[in-house]
Amino acid sequence: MTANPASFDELYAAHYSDLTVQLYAYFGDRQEAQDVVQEAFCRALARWRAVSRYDDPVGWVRRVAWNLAVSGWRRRRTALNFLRRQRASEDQIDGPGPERVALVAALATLPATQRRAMVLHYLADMTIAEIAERENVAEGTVKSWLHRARAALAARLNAGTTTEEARNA
Amino acid sequence: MPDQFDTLFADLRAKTLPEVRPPGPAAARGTVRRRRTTRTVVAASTVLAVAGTLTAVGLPTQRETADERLDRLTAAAQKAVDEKGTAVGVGVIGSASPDSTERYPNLSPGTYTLTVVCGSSGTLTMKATLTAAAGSTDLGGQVASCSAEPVAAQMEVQTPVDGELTVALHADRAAGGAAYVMMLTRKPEPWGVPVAPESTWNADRAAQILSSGGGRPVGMTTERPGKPTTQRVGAAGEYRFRMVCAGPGSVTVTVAGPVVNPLRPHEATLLSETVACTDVDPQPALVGVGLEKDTEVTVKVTADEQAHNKAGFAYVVEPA
Repeated sequence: MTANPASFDELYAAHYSDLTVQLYAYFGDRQEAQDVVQEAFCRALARWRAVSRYDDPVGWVRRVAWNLAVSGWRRRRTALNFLRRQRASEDQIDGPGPERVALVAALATLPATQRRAMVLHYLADMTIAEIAERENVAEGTVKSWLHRARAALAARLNAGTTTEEARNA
Repeated sequence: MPDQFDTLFADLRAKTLPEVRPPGPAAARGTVRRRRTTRTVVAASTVLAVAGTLTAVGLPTQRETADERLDRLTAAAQKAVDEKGTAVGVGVIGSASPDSTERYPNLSPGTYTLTVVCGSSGTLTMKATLTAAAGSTDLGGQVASCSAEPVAAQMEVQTPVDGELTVALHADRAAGGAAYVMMLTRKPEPWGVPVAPESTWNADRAAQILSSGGGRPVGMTTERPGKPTTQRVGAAGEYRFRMVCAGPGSVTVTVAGPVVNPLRPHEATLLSETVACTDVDPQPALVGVGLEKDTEVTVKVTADEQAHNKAGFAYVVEPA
């Protein structure tokens, strides 16, 4: 148990955006990522007395968010969309730049396990051992996922660049 | 050694973070509270249905249960709300204590009615506060008498800007543990009218004045207080807002940057300026502001009584 546990508000302020970016890279949809992360925080708040006593409350929120993401929670949701009603009216913003689109699109072509491993490794800064424990697989399996994912991403991103250059030529 | 993916993902993170719009911890509280309330109401309905069945088949029933009492309180509150002719609002069920709080996040500007019905005995004192970007405002209070035959106590609060309404509830000793039902309803908006042609015409007129100086002016009508528009700037530096208000009265213009910390939204306010509107030959007003790279700013306009739905506003953001 931590000596001075963070309040819910502090935890939210410190981690909401980062978790959303991770889920965005996984889903390819920022809004979907925001909804999933908000739902995870709602679930943490509903049992905050217990969650706040954990050694790693943010780990709990992250796990719930990823479980919701993997289970397709949001897609199955049909009624009582409180989150939609709470969401402040979305301002019009520019779309993401071409590099970001290319990376997110390339990630979307990966198998879910490889995509998850890449996001957890590069965006959640998790070690191979931590990912292996989370996914309940051997470390060698995670290394293999990452290796294949890097190769596939590199090929796809390079192919995209070549096509772009050819178009500009 | 960092590979190329470190850079790619770092870039993805850096560029996505500013676009994330956290609904905020207050919204999470609202969701959790609503879910609890829904569960309570469902449980209460189930108990009532069972009690009704028992009565119908002639089996002996207990005296009024806590859930039945809640249902009666809810009915009394709903009746008071209906008599006021207000729109649908949000209801919460609680247990009176010496110190409790109900929160209504993300309220838009308007006139609201707080209705409280309290069972048992004693008194329940409520105090309303609006927390907005500019700080907190005391909106007054009301005392509800708790009684076995509940009577609704109502108070009207006006929220001139977006914010969170907090209602602090204090139960005296006699009312300790008494159940209460609180409903927040919104009065029909006086500005819930369609935009007037005069305001549209003035907004076009204001935009036309600015377009002669270059840039792409954004025109805004004034039928709704705090109506937002957004603009994005690419490079960091000093910018100036050229603003024109055509028509009567004056408007208050607020420019805010992205809310980085949802706990301190007021930190995002970059400037707040009152612009006088002129009917004949309106002239641009200039205000400078420093903006960071890739910043999206929200510009909101609130008209005073004279300008409401008559004046039209336009602005341009350009490097100074």
